[in-house]
Amino acid sequence: MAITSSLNDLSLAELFQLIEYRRKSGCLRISTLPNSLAPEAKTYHYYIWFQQGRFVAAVNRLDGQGLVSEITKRGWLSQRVVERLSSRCPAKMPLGVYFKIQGVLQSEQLHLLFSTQLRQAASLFEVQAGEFNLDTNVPLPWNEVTGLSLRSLDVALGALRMLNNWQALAEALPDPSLAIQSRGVIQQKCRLNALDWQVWEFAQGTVALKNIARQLNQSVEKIQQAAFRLVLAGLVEEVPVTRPTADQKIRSTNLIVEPSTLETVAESNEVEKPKVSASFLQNLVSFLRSQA
Amino acid sequence: MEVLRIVITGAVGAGKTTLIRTISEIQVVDTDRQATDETALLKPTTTVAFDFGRLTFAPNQALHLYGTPGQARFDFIWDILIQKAHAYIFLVDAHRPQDFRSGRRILSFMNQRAKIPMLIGLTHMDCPGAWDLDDIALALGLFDEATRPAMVPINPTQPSSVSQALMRLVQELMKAPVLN
Amino acid sequence: MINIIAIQSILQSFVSDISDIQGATLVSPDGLAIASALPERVDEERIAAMTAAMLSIGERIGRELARGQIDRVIVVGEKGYSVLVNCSDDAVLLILANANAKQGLLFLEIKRAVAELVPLLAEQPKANLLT
Repeated sequence: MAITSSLNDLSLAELFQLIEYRRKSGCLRISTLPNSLAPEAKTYHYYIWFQQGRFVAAVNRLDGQGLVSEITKRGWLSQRVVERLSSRCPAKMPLGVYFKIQGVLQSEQLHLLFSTQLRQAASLFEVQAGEFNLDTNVPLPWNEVTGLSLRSLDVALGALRMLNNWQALAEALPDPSLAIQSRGVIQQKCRLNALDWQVWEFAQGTVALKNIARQLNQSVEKIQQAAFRLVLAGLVEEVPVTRPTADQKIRSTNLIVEPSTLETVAESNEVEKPKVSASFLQNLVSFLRSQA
Repeated sequence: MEVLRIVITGAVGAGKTTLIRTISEIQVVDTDRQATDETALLKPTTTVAFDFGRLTFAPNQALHLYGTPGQARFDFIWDILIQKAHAYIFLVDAHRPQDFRSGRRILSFMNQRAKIPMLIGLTHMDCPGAWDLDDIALALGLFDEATRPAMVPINPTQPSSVSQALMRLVQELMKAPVLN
Repeated sequence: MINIIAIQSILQSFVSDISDIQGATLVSPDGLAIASALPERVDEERIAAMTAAMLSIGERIGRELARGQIDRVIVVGEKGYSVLVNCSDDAVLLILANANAKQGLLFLEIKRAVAELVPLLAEQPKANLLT
């Protein structure tokens, strides 16, 4: 099955999260579109391949020659050798693995090829206007695969750590008036940075991001970005602030001075509600059944 | 009079007002206004306070349905309505991935404000471009299949489909110990 | 094109001229601020949404109870007034006044402000409210 949408609706980072959690295999095609910054820009297509939720390859062509052209460009093997060897590569074996078995490439070289592909994928996180199509019904292009792979979530978190221009993610970032709440899971090997962990300390849902920024003496944007990484990593979710403290006046419903009534309501999660009897529910069910 | 209050929530254009109109026995009390924001691209009018519908199913027993606005600027209304609700249905349009993000925010708002039985109703599941149920769950931030709420396809224009969804919601209510 | 600047300046002079008035905002019926002169700490976006919701409920009550066309909705608290006035099909005016305000005078001033605003609102097609 395929998923198609615009990168405005779902960011690449969120897509990678989906691919990871749903252990998807297949091809993610990214097509860049002209945008307000570059109205004359051409459309480029990129193809990112996943297997069982892991990132395995990224290329900008569909002729299966991406990996070998990287190898010949670096002068590691001649065009002739590459062609002769790749024609003998067994079905469903990554070309990178085959070259290593044949002793023509070392694992360091494979790592370098893989990180080139990773960098290409990471650069796409800045794409501001584009469409994507995730097709889970296509076989892997073994010619483009080094044999190395990485958790999609780690690819996304890594890309976000290096991201300079966050414009593409503006809509995805949690609002500064929201707080973060821990999901109660501890994920060990998360690729998060020091600031992310500092923000993580506030994951009780009680402090708005803009106030976290003040406390940590950081810009609000930096805190929003850190919170987004934590959300992506599945560590926290964005929630409205629960118990507002004196320094949080943003959601105040009272216009002039007093503390807000709405917040008082929000604080008391359990409003007394008239109870509904079991017989009531049974009556309702039989009524609905007659309508269904 | 014994009353069960159910809130219908979800992103803009998910079908909240439609659902209430479909099932209500009275003419729905709506507060639709002409949309002037990006909502206007989707539909001409939008709910600015709440919709109210009623279904009397036995003498002195009735279901009250409240529909929320979809835009986050009306979150104070979400709050007012959900505080008094016994249960709620969260509607999401399966073939509009552009709404999943705002849907996720509504869902986390509701979940934080009220721990009450709920159900996710998926509309347009049969349309081209509709996401599958598990992908939608993830896009809504529901990572754990074991603990996530029930998700059922629903057609807000069809009385039988709405009745089925409500029946499913009542089942959730019966599971909740506090009500009995 | 709606003349936001002109509207803004009417609201501003209204708030600064009249002693007991604390703020004013003009919002679209679907809850988006068009122009405001509100106290600093007030969240304009939120108030705009509340204004629209309140007026729509007021109008609904008016209709259900056969009160005819709703002219205004008033919320009176111990610290003052919030008055919502229908300006046109495309705009609702919210006025905040403190408890010292004399109701009669307040309504008179509001009427004057509305009279100034209405011609400005009539100038443009509805779709342009966004810009």
